[in-house]
Amino acid sequence: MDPSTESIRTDIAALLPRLRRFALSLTANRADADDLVQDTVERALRHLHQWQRGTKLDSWMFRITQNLWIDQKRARRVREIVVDDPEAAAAAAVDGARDAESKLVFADMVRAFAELPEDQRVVTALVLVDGMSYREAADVLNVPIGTVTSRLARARVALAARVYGEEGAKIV
Amino acid sequence: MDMSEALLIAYADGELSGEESRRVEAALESRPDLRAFVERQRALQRAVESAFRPILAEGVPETLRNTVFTKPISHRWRWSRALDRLTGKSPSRRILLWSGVPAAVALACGLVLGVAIVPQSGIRVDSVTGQMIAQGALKSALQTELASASIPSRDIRIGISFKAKDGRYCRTFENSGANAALSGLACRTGNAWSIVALAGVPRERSEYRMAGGMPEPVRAAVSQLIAGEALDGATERAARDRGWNSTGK
Repeated sequence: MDPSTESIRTDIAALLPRLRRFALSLTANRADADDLVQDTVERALRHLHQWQRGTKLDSWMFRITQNLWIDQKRARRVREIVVDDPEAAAAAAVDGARDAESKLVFADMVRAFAELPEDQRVVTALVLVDGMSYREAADVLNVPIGTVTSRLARARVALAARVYGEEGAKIV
Repeated sequence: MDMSEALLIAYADGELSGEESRRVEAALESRPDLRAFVERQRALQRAVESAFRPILAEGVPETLRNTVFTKPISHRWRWSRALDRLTGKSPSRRILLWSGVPAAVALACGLVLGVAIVPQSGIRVDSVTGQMIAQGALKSALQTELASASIPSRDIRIGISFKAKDGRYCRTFENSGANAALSGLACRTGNAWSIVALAGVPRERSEYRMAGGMPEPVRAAVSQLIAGEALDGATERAARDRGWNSTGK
């Protein structure tokens, strides 16, 4: 095999755990998440010439994931996300988790994410789940950084209300 | 300064500039409610991150890994990688496919053009070495035709032959198609002819041929590689009769 072909495949394989985590935070559903990553990888390989070398491979692949997800949602006219049964989802997701509590935390977080509007959920997934900077998230989404800031703020006020209660979420 | 939620969250995330940060901190001094808000947002960030973190430690499903290592990769990407390897990776040294059209258009269309021409032009990209290798009619023309006895009506014509600084024999060629010609430079590598420069020339720009000129990428590659002068008729014939085996530097 061509060495450069092999090394790009290795680079993509190294991104799989992050892509799965990102996909799960979008889909709230393990089966959909793995399908989404599968589609992402196939599309990335087929369209690799569209990736500008010198730019970040991870940003490009996250962008594919989120575009595919938006397309899928439109195509299926899915308005509500199907959340896995929380117990099952948590058990499957947090196999290695130390305790039942962290499974519950996970299930609860997935549900909270599922309730966010799509554009806010994507930004939150990039910044809070994956730990990207606002700049990186803006690059993935191809939006101005101010859009990231405002979407993220709305999402986080909503998430905080859910996790900590209404009074803790807002500046009164 | 307006202490919006967005501003405080950006502060909590360490996304503010030094000066903005200091102004927020000054405001926080006298506002325990804002401090509490910032703290809660930091806690939320930790909670979200740690809730999803275990996914990273999971094994990736086998089917997914197989997809990464077996599904086909874009031909255009492989092609451009192959070109990079032949011409040097640095963009300034890279010899672009050249099509006699404005640079931006050439950049946009170059690789498509290359791929479109390949099947009939007798060039393949070797999947092991990534090099472009002449095959079919182009290979036999490079192997047998003499530049000094080039027949203008042929689809493939040899331009000049020369010895490269590394001792290999190299030859320029032109391969005419219905709408465009392909001009290139091939060097004898082992038993094959590897293509080291390649440029597409639209049919209507045939004045390049009439002027005896070469497209810039090919000309540049020739001047970079050539040791001394192009071979004269007798030397070229002798080299061909030896099967283009190099005779040392």
